[in-house]
Amino acid sequence: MRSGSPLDITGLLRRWSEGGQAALAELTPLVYDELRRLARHHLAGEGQEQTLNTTALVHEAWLRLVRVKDTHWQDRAQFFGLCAQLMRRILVDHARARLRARRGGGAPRVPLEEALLVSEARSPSLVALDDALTALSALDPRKGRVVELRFFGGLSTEEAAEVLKISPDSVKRDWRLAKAWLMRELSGAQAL
Amino acid sequence: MTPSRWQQVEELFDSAVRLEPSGRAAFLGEACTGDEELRREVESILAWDERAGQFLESPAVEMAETPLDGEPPQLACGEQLGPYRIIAPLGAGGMGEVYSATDTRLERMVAIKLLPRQFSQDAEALERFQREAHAASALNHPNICTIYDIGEHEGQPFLVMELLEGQTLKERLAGGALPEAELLNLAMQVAGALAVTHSKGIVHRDIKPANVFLAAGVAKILDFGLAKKWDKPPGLSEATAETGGDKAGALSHEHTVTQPGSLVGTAPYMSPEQVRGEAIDARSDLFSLGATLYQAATGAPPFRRGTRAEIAQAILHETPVALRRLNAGLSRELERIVLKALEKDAARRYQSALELQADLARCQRAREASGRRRWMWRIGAAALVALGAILTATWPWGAAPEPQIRRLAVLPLDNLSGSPDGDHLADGISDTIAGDLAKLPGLRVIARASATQYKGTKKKASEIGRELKVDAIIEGSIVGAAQRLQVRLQLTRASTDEPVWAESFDLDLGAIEKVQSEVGRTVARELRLRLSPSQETRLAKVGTNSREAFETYLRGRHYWAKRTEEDIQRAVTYFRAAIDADPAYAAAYAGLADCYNQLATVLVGQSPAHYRALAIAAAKKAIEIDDQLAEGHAALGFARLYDWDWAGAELELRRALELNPSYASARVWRASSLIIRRRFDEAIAEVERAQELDPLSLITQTQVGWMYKYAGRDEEATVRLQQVLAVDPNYPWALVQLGNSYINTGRFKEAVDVLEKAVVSSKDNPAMLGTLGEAYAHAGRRAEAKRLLARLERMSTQRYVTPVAAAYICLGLDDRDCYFRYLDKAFEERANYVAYLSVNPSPKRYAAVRSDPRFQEMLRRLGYERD
Repeated sequence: MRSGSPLDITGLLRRWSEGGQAALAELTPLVYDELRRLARHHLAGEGQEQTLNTTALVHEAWLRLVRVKDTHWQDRAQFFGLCAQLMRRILVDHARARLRARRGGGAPRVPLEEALLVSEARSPSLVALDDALTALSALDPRKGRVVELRFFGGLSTEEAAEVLKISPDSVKRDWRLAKAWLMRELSGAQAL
Repeated sequence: MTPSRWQQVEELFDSAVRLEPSGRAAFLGEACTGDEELRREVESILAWDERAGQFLESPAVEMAETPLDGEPPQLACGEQLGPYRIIAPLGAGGMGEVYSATDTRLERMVAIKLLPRQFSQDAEALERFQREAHAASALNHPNICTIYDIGEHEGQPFLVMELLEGQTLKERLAGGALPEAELLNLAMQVAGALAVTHSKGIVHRDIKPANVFLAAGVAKILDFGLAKKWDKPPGLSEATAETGGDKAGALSHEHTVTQPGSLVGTAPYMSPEQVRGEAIDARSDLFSLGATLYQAATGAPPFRRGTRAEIAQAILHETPVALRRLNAGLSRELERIVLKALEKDAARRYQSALELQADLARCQRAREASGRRRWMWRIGAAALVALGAILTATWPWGAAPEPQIRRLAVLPLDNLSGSPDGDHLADGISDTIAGDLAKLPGLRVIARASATQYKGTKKKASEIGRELKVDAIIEGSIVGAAQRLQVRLQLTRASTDEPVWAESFDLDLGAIEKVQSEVGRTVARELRLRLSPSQETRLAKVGTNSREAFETYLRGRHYWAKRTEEDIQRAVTYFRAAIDADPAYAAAYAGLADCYNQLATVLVGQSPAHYRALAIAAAKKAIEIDDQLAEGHAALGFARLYDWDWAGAELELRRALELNPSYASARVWRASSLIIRRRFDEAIAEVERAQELDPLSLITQTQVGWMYKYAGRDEEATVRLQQVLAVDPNYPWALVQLGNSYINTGRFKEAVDVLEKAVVSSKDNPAMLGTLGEAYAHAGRRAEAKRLLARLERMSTQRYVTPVAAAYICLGLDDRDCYFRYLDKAFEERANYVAYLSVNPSPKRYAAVRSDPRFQEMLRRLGYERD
């Protein structure tokens, strides 16, 4: 752990939940660093055997950063929500950097074996998805959040419901419509 | 979109997804009355919802393409590792960091792979690293990344290898599937490299897209980090067996590679035996290569699941989706090859990489042979998807105010290209469109023979609509020539003479695939199409990529439809040529089966024993290649029917009609199957439907008359057959059936008249001679009847003569011994005539023989209950 004691984090979370935006500003880099560090550790260290799991990652970050007995569930939910946002930033920034590096091109590349078990679905690039998600959030902020929590944060329906303080059924409905909407957006098909 | 609008969309979407998909259109139609735009928006999102599948279901982290930026590289530019000077870091991953470097002794560029520091202490990782070095350095092959050296830097082992420029197949596939030609080229290289690897007794064990590198058209296998020697199992082909027992090599040989329960390899590409942790051999690599090729061909690996456990289950138990369902442009042959490589049981896979390579090479040669002629069928497919779109869009949802299009004719396209070659092209495209549209359930497409008569017609759609009883027609033209071509298509409603849809397809030889997908999508979008996946799959069936094969096939069908022995023999030649041009062309095998089936009939007059076996083999081959092809099942059904396998026949014929409800010939044959089981009304209904589908075809109309005759409705039979003869007074098939009808009803003189004509126009067809002989006998001209009997005997020394012909004459002569003598022969060879004996259409004609115990015995052997 680089900076910030568990107590700091708990306090910051509390202050943030009470509306202190300054607390969020302090909180973010702490959590961000921890997530990045954990992600890197997982991605570099575990080799082929391990599937990197965002949920595990976020939980691990939580355990590392927060002294559990001092907190209650609102803090945890809030923390997960923040993590999802930050994971989105980490992964999309990474993808954008990669894209730039590729366009800058020229350097010969020797690939290594995959360090993680990648879902081989013909997945949209994270960058395009990030753009589409921003567009969705403009139309319907809650659905944007649901996608962020479920997809970037790796949270379950129930956890996402907890974070957003809505019912799991609402999360499911939002999730389904959001996915279809995003797919259409990413396909290049025009909305009618 | 305004928030309130979006809320409406959301509410309707939530309600609609709770309904069965079939009920959604009606719901939305009602809910959105007067707000077409709202309905379309919701329908569009629903359509994507149906396709969502696993979209976004795996968390984002798993989508990250490579490890996140790790620790800073350990080695800096200029640093020296023995004779190697580091230039720049290239990448990092679970198994180490890679740098570009120069070999200062040889002044060549190399790549250096440095094992991560934390693994330096890890005995297993070290062993794996060394294994890679040993395994790969033993291999010298242009398609294997060469290992030059191995060394140690401050306690960290490193590997020196060939520096490659390019990208991995995995990176390449991020942009979608490979074109088939490129895929075949790459696959053959990898298979060749694996053949060498395996010949040294080494299994790679981790073949996957990330381990295949593409360097300027040359494929290289990377990463022998998991490679192992294997103990040569029994039953491997020579290629691997020869050298497979090289146990004196650098590697220890062992069966199980890791601790029990632990897996090595990359989940989606592992073979079943790998997943089970069993001993593996070369064939495991071939499975992994199959999975890799599957992904290269379709864009997705065969076993795509959320978790590792689910992937393992799928590898062990699930059959991969046929490739052509995911990418309809692929050849059947490639599909077959990849699926064979993916057989779960290693014994059913390719047994060696060389065997796989040979099949790939054959597939490539077949492609090259059809070469530049391929494009035509692509446009056919593109047009089809588009047309299927409008048709399905206007009809099954029923929301359109226009009457539904239920019956349709595709007229031959006009050839305005100025080249005679264009004629075939025009016919071919319209035929492809008609054939494939006919597969859509609920849509009747008028058979080709009827539509052909309107080639170059000046008639209006409404006139054609009346004549063919169709709701709409598709017409069009091709213009341009050689390299560039434009196909124009138009769908016109017969009730109004108004075009409902029109589209031009520009064809550039180089960009056909693009055209296909773009046209399909554009038109689909414009028409707000929603094709269900199954309809899409059916539409996508193009049959062959070879224009030559298709053209030859069409000629075969043309002659087959004429039904004389001479024509059918000619058709056989064409179908065989089509198969030569494309050995994986299912429809050509079905055509061949149809020919053999016809040759085996009494009326065409070749040996059933010989030709029916050929027909069954050809039909089975057609089905093996394409189980969805109606023609294959129909041909098999026909053969089974006269092989007295009534249930089998019914099964195949019904399957054919499910696959293509507009297939007129299959309806005729189904009618025969019903007649034989004495289900007369159903048989008549079936054959009438056949005629609706093919209203101008003489053979179909003749068969309608024939069915009425068997149903004991000789008057109606006579009327129908006379209608045929009004069109072609010398049509032998109608003449002989009319003659039969006259005999049944005791009109012997008229029977003699028409049968004499039949004999002349069929050039002394034996069955027609026999029927004429029977008519002579009934008409009191017994001497002439006996002369014909003798003539048939003489003929049979020159050629095959069906015993049924002589049996007819004996029947007329009321010579029962003679009749049963010939009938026995007919029975032995299973002449199709025998199958109809239970039907007893004419009690009078068969009265004498039916009461004979020999007849009853024969019926019993046929498997009928006596009525």
